Amino acid sequence: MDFKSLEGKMPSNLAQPHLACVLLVDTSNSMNDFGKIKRLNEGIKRFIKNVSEDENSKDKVDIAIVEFNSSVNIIQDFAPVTDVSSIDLVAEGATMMAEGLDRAIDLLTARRLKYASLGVPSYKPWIVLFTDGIPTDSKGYVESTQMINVSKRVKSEFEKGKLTVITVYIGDDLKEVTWENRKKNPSYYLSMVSTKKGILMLKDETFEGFFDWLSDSMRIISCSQVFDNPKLPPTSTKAVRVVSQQDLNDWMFEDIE
Amino acid sequence: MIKGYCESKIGKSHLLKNQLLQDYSKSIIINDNLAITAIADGVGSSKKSDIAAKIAVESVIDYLSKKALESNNYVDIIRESFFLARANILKNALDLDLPEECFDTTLDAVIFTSNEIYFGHCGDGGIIGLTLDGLYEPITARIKGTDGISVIPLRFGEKYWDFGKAFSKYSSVMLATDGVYDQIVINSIGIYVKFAELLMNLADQKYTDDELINHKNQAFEFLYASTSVTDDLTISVLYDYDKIPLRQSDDYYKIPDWKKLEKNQRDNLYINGDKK
Repeated sequence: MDFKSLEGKMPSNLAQPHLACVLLVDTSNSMNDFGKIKRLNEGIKRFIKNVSEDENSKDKVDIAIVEFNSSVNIIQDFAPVTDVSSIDLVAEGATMMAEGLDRAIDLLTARRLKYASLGVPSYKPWIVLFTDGIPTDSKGYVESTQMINVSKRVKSEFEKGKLTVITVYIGDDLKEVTWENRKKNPSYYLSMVSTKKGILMLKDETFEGFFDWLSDSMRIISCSQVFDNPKLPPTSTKAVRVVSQQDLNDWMFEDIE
Repeated sequence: MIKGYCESKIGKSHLLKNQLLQDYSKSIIINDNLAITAIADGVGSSKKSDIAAKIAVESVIDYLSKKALESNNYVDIIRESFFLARANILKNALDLDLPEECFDTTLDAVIFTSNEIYFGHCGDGGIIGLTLDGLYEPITARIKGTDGISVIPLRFGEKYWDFGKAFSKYSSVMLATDGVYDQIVINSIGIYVKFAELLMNLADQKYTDDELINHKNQAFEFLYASTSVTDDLTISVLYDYDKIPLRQSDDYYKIPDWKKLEKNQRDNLYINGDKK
């Protein structure tokens, strides 16, 4: 008996783990300023290309793209990264960030169940949230209560080991959160939902580096075992800590009361 | 006469990261009609899982090698050996002043007598039997968390352990940790018979000891080279040298149409995956 008779005849793609990643993108009107939406479209294309060309991750990474403005829209439901077609996001309307995040978590929950029902192992899924603003309702009025509620959902999923949320602020004007400025400060809301320490700030010169980091991270996870917690490469853009956890918790508590 | 092979090899991903082998395995052929084997897969996220896997296997083998000659209540003594394994792991954790969850591991054990399989099972690896009729049967089911993914380690206790005597008469038994097991027992088809046959239908080969070692080495070389498995690899096979199983029809050994199965899986995974 010879194992050579089975060469090329193993079920390599049936049992390999998948990594679900939602790109959750703010496409509100302000994203037109300073060509932010254009840079973001280019960055996402770069990311998709990088991952699609990587032997380790191309068959494992599943991508969904969700946008939020005055509504929430699934631009791309989960698909293999190699099948994600070219996207061209257009910015207009308000910033329904909380609803967008809720929808992204719903999508990931359904995806995780789908993997489990088909016996496909899966890595801890990711949401990468890109925004330049603060959460609003569909009419553009600031909406903090819903954001605090969805942050509890993020926290619960994170603590169960079922979610990673990376928050990315597009712009170079992140401010420290204070009691006075918190409700109009994007840092306040992004800090609520980030499962990493800090918010990543994307400026013109850091876009490409960030998307390369994101694809490198997908590759490193794809090479790991499902329950490993692999060390990710350092980001080219530094994560900014803009509020202490204690202040954040206190202020969220007050704002929900 | 019972013969067999047993080995744990470090996985590709662990090699790349300079990590330790987290699987452990051991077999002892007690006499011509009695052999014992145990394998364990230390849980990757658990800091001292390599130690836990070794303690679990050594505890079980040590206990069974003594008790299996004294008692025919094989299921009971396997159960006792699992309790002992867990107690020894806990003691080690206490000695090192570390929480027990740093020592998470799976555990599978078998007593193979003249064509009978007695087993204990915990975790996401498993045990496969080759009956004298020539059929390949999963003896155990993967034990996982309610999410269908997470590993249930030995630490979770008896509620998550499975013991018993397999129903048929067997020519061979194989224990494998999940990296290998998932290549053989596949949700959409059951057992990949052709591959299982190569690994465990050894009675009609009449291998010498050296040939058996060579066969084992070829099996691991093949697993390294021809599969996407990056996890540690453990296989333990015991077989009755004198009992050649019957041959089934050729169809039974046919290699599945993997491309078609992959397409089916892809269709199921991305059924709503179109752009909206």
